Amino acid sequence: MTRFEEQLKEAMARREPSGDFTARVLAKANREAAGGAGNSWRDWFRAPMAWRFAGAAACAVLLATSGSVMYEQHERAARGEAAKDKLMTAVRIAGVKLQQVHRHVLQVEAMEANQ
Amino acid sequence: MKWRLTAGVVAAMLAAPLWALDEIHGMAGLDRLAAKAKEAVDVTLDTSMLQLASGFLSPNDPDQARVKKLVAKLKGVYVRSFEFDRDGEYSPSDVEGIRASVKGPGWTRIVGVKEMKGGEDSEVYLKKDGNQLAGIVVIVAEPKELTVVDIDGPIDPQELSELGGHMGIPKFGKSQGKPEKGAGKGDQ
Repeated sequence: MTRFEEQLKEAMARREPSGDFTARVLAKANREAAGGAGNSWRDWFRAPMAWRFAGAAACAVLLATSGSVMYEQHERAARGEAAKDKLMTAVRIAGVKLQQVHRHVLQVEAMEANQ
Repeated sequence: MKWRLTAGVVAAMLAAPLWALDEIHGMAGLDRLAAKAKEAVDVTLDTSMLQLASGFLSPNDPDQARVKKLVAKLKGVYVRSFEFDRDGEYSPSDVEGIRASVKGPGWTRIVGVKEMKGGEDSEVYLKKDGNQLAGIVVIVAEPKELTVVDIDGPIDPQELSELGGHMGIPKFGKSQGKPEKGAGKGDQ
């Protein structure tokens, strides 16, 4: 028997597992079982088709409603800002033109007083 | 035949409010001037739009706070202002619709100034409801500029004059300039 064959025989010899081997295997099995029960996405895909459809429809309605509300608020703000700008312009023009008329009247009165 | 009659009635019903709005404020004849004008301002704010605009006025901004107080009770604000490149782009008849609309009961022309030399024609009409001022219409017609302001609703002239010196509006007060020759005052 050569040296190499002796080493091979020694490596392939039967050995008994350590004393805590059974406990470690059981602990790992329990951990995997506990983790699998809490996986909601796996449950979701395992649920019946009707439940999946209902959930998707509820999400779609929620998204559409919130999107509509946000769009409406944005539109209202835009209309309000535009109306505000128009109002400020209108008041400015009204004030300038009334002042212009007032000045005009004063000039005429002054001219009549001078005559 | 029946559907044509129904369609006609529906069309008339839909068009009536627009027609009434223009006729009330007499501004229908002015809108076509926008095509000839170098600059045109068109402001139409009815009660609902005024309320909407008022909600966006900031109470922290002094100018906006003044405007908010001024427009609180108004029913509408309508402005048409046109600036032209040349003289004669509009005719006096264009303003006749406005004048006709302020000849009704309650309206009084308080200022009518016609400047012979410069061609500026200024008119102010007030609407009174009892002792309260219920509206004001200002028409300022210059050779190259025409402005009509129609403020509908109770307005306090004092609040309006307080805007002078703010928002780019000159302060109301005694005229500093010399009187121009050729000016003639209308009925007051």
